[in-house]
Amino acid sequence: MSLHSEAELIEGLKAGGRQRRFFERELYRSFFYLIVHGSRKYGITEEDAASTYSDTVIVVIDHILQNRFEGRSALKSYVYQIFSNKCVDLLRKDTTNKQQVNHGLAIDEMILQLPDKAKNAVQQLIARDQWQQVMRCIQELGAKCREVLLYFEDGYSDREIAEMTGYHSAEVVKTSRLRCLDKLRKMMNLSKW
Amino acid sequence: MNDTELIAAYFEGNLSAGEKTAFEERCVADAGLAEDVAAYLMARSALKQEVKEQKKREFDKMYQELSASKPVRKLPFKTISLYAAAACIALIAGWLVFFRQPGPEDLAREYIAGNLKTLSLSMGGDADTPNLQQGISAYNEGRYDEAIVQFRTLEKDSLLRPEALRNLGLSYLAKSEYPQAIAAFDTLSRMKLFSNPGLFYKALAHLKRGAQGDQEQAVKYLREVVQQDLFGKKQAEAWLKEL
Repeated sequence: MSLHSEAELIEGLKAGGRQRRFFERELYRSFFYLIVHGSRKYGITEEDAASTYSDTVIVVIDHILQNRFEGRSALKSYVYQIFSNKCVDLLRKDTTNKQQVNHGLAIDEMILQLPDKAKNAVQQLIARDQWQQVMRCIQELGAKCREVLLYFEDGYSDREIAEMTGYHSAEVVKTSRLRCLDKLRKMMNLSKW
Repeated sequence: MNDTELIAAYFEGNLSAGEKTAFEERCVADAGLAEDVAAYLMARSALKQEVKEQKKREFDKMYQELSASKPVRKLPFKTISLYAAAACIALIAGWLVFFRQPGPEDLAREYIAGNLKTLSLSMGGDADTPNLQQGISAYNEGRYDEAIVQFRTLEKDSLLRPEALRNLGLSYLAKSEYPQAIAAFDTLSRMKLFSNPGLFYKALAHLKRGAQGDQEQAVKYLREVVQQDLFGKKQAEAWLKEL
């Protein structure tokens, strides 16, 4: 169990940088006991409960960072509610399908930034069947490129990435990640961005 | 600004209103740019997915490590209940045979042997918290002086202070240096924590020392643990029945 209060966990996550990484693990430790509880209550294996708990913690971290957790209930209750819902989903055997749908969701969320005409023009060009290929290309990227791109996608700012990875400045990080994105595009064998 | 930078600037919200409109109009008129945007969105989406999968792998690893240090239930509940019942009968029989009431120091020693002989490593934190990991390793190998040095260096680290104080107190306790152990636990007990073990460990230190007045102090702290629903409440309730 974590030794930190709920307020400290939330503050630590919002602090960003290394502190956020530390508190992500602390959050996981805080409600670790839910795995055994979920396994007993819903009659699922502990491995399934552990996997569901990991998904829960990832969602809760996102909600805290995006201020979707407003503190109307205790963090403990919030985590428990999401975990319970996910256990029920698992029982209904919806999870696999939902995960497949989620692959498209991240694209759909970003594409919504475009107005309708531009959205239509771009939408028909998105090759959803190339998903596995893109995922494979990410694995084949150089370690440094992958690290920078994944930190950015995880919501860290260029300044935080510079501090965590030893780059000289946020500007250098920005230039590097755009170069890395370009490299990824070439590996995907798609048109130049 | 080349197209790569332009697309990134658009989706990161770094374009002015006029630049945004021009970009959106170009997406409709310029099939090449539309393709570039589609590829950009695919890559960003795949990266997001990879972030999730990476976190999941890290948490799965933590699960394996935490499960190994604190074994989770592997047997069906009914089987465990039967074992527990059998163990209780054996304990009662043993108690009847030997009719021996364990003293406060025995209670403390049993608890320490069963729960505090080794400390769990902070999962996945090796790179970020080397002193903590080294201190824990030293403690687990019985090198308490070295553990104390490592934990002392972390006392001023606001992030790790609670864990450092707890481990520092436990290291002193293992060396039977009670005043230092009690002082560390006392400082810990005054911190605002999610589940503060300070008071419980302070009671444990008094029980283990067993000097004049220690039992009374321990009982006082154990009662507070129960009343305030702090870390160690169940153990405190069990001990209060025996003390």
